[in-house]
Amino acid sequence: MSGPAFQVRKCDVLILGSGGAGLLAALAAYEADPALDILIAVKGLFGKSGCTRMVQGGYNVALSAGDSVENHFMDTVRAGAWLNDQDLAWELVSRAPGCIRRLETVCGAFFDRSSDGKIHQKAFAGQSFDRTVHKGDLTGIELTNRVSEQIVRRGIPVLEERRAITLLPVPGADGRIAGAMLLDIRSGDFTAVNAKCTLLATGGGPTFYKYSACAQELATDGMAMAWEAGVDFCDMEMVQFHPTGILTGEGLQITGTLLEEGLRGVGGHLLNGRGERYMERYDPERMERSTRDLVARAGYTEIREGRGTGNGGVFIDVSHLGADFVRKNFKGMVDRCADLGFDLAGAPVEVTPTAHYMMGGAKIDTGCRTSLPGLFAAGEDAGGTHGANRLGGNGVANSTVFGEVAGREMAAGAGGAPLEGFDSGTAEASVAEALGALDVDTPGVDAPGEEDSPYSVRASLKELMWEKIGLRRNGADLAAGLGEIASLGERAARVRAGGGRAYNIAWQNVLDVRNQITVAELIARSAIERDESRGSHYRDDIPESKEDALYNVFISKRSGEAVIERRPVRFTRVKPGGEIASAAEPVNFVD
Amino acid sequence: MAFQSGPSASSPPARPSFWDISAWRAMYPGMWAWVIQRLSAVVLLVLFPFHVVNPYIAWLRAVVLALVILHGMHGLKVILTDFGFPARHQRKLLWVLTAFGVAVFFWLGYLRKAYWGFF
Amino acid sequence: MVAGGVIIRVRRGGAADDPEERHQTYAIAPRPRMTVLDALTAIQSELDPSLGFRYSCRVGMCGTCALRVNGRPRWACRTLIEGLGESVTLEPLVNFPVLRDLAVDMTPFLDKMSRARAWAEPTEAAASAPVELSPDSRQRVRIDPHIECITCGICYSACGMAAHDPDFLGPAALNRAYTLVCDSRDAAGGERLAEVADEHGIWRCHSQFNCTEACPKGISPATAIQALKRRAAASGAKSFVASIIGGLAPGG
Repeated sequence: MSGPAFQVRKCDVLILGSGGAGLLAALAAYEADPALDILIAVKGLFGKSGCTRMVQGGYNVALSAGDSVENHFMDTVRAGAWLNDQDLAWELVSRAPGCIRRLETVCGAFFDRSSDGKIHQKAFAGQSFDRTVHKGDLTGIELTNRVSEQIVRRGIPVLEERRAITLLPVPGADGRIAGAMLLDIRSGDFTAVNAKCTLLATGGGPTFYKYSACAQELATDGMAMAWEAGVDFCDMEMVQFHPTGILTGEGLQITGTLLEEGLRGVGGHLLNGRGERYMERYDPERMERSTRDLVARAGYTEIREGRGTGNGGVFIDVSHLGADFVRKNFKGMVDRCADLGFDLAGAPVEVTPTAHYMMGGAKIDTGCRTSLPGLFAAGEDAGGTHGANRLGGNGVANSTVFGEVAGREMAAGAGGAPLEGFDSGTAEASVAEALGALDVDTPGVDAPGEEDSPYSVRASLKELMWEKIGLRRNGADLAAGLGEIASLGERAARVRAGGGRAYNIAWQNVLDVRNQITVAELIARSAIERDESRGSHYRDDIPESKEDALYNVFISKRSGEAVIERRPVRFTRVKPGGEIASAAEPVNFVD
Repeated sequence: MAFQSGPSASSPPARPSFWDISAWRAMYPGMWAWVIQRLSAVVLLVLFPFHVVNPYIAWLRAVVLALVILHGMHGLKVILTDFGFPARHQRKLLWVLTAFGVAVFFWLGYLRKAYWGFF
Repeated sequence: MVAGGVIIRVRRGGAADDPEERHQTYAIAPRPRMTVLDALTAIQSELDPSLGFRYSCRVGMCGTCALRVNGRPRWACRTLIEGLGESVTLEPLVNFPVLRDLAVDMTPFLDKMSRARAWAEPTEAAASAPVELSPDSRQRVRIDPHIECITCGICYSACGMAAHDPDFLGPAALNRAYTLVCDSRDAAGGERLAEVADEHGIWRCHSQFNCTEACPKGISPATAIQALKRRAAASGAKSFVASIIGGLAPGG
C-alpha cells in the first residue's frame, strides 16, 4: 500500500448519521450559524439510513387543549418505571412542541390533520391522552424526506456510505474528542475528520437479537466507538422489545419489522395459537393497550409456553375493526402485508416480539454532552431519557428534539473555538485495525467454506442474545451469556473478509459484528448488575421490583477495564408516586 | 454539489443496449402504446403515398385504415391525458380506446364490404 | 410454496473499478415467503461474499434496495421469489452509475431533485405556525397521492425519456415539484414551475407512463407531470394574452 494511510479533512462540526438526530442537528447548527463548516457522514444513503425513516405510528407531543407537557412528562416517567433522567425527560416533552412546529414551518412537513384543519393526534399505547402526531402510518418517511431536503437546500455537505470507525482524541489524557476516522465504504479509503465538535447520531439498533425491527446496516457503531473512547454509559440493560414484529419465517429479512403500535391503539386484538386474547392474563385493565414491555413479554411467554402459532408467533387481529377502516388508516401496513400474501384488514397476521430500541446509551447532559469534551450524542446513541421503557412515539420525538439541542450546542461550542489536532497514533492504529479485518490475499469470490464468517458469528450472537439476554432473563443465563459473548468476541477478532477494499460488504460485516459484540457485552454486564425486574428488564429469578432504592446502572471503561456502578436515581422533578400539576395554560410550541 | 461520492462513483450511468432484451421487459402497456403509435406513423409515411397513387389495392386500404385508427386512438389517449384524464387510469383508457378502434375498423369493414373486398 | 431450486442470475460488473459486465448464476433453495432480498443475503453469506448490493430497512421504507427483477425495477425487500419463475435475473437500475454489481450511485438522480427545487420554501404565514388546512381541501386532495415518494429511483429507471435524455429531470423530481406547486404554504410556486417547464423538464415527458406503472408506492408521477404541463400551459397562455394586450395598450 503506497501513499499515506489516510487523508485529513477539517471541519467545525462533524455529524455522524443522518436519521432524525443527525438531520435535525445539522439543520439546527446551520440555522444557529450558517458560516460553520458542517459535515455529515452517513453509513448508508443520506436520509435513508437508520430507523427514523422507519417510524410508523408517530411523534408524541402535547399540543391540544386538555393535554399538557406535564401530562406527557408523567406518562414518560411512569412508562420508564421512574428510572428516567428526569431533566432529559423534561427537555424531551417541553421541546417537542417547538420541534414539531419547526418540522412544519421550517421543513415544510405536513402531518395529518383533523377535519377542523388542526394537527391530528392519535391514540398510542400507555398514554393518558391521544397525543401522537403522524403522517398516515408511515410518519418517518415524511419526516426524513422533508428535513433531508432542507439540508440539501442549504448545501450542507454529505458524505454517503462513509462509516465512522474510531473517535479521535486530542493528544494527551483529558479525553477531548477532535473528530473521527471515516472509512469510505465505496473506495475503502480512510479520512480522518478533524472537528471541533463531533456528534454521535448513528442510531442504536439492537440488531444482534434473533428478531429485530431496526434497519439492518445498524450495528451500534456509535456506541461501540464511544465505549472504546471511554464514554460513560447508562441503562444499557434496558432493551425494548416491540410486541408485534411481522413473522414470515425465521431468518427471513422482513421478519421482525413492525406492524405499528397504532393497530393496538385503535383496538386490535392479540391472540395466541388457541385463539385466546391472552392479554387478559397479563394486564386485564389495559389489555392490548398496555405498555410495550408488558405486551411484548406476554407474547414471548405465550410462545415459550407452547401457546404460540405454528411458526412460533402470536396473532394480531384487526379484522373486527372493519376492512375499510383498516385500509384507510393503516395503508402502509396493509400494503406491506399484501405483498407478503397476508390480508391484514381481513384476517389475523402472525407476529413475534422483536428487539426494537435501546433505552440505554451514552450518558448525556441536557446539552447532549457526553462525558468526553467535544463529543455529543443524540437519539438512540444517548441514554437516560426513557428510563426502563420507552413510550411508543417518544423515540422519534427524542431523536429530533435532542438532535436540535445538539446542533445548537455544537454551533455555540464550535463558533470561535480553536481546532485542536488529533492523536495520530490513535488514527494510525484505527486504520491498521480496520485493515486487519481484511484478507486481501483471499479473493472474495470463494465461498467461506470451513472458515468462520462474520455471518455465522452474527447468527450465533443473535441466538444467544435472544435466548439468554432477551425478554426474560435470569442470573445463570446472564452469566453464561456473558461468557459466550466473550468467546464470540474471540471468534470475531479472528474473522477476516476476503477481497479488495472497495465496496466490500463482507469486510463491513466483519467490522459490524465486532461492534455488535462490544455493545452486547455492555448489555449483559449491566443486566447482571440489576438484581430486580423493572420495565424492560425482567428476571425470572427476581420477578419483583425493589422500590426502596432506585438506581441507574452506569458502565465505564477505566484503564481498559469495564467498571460498573449503581447510582441512585435523582428525582429532580417528581418522586415516585408523585404527580406534577399541569400549568394553567397549555404550553404550546415553546422553544 | 452537496453530495460528495467516493472515487468509484464516476462510471457512466448504466444503460442497456438496444439489443438487450431484458431492458425491453421493463416496458409496460403504456410504453408499448407509445412505441406502436410512433411506429405506426413511420409505416404510414411509407404506405400512404402508395395508397394515394393507387387507392384500389384492397389490402393496402385495410392496412392504412388500421394504422390510421391505431395512430389516432393513441393520439386521442395522449390528448385526453394532457387535458386532465387521470394518468393513473391510463391503462384502462388504453384498453377502452383500443377496443373502440378495433370496433370502428370492423364496423367500417362491414359497412363497405363490397368496397373492401373482404369480410 | 416453491418446489425445487431457483436459479438467481445476477448481473455483475459495470463499475468504474470492475468494468467487465457479466452474469453470474447461483442456485438457492427457496423458502415460503422468501423475498429477492432474502435470496441476495443468502447468496452473500453462504455462496459469494463478494456480491455487491444495498439495503437498509428491508420493508419498503428506505428504498435503497431497488433493482431490476427479470427486467422490471422493483424493491428487493418486498418482492417474493415465489411467482418469479425458476430463473430470476437481477440487474442494477437503469440510468444510474453502478458502484458494485447491484448497488448504484444515486447522486445524479438527487442532483435533479435539486434542479427541480425539491424542497419547501415556506411562505411567511407557513413559516410562522403550522397552517390549519382541512385534509379535504383541494390542495391536500391533490398533493396527498403524490407526497409519499421515497426517492428509490424505480420510476427513474423505468423512464424511457430519462434513458434518452441524460438531462431530463425525471418523474420523481417533477412529482415532488408538483406537490410543492400545489401547496399554498410554499412561496416558490411560480418560479419553480418556470424552472421545470423546459425541454429537459415537463415537456420532455412523452406520456409513456412507465413511471406510474412501476412505482411500488402506487404514486403516479405521470399524473403530476400532466398537471404541471396544464399549469405551465395556462400560465404561458396568460402571459401571452397579457403581452398582446400590453402591446395594444397606448404607450405600452
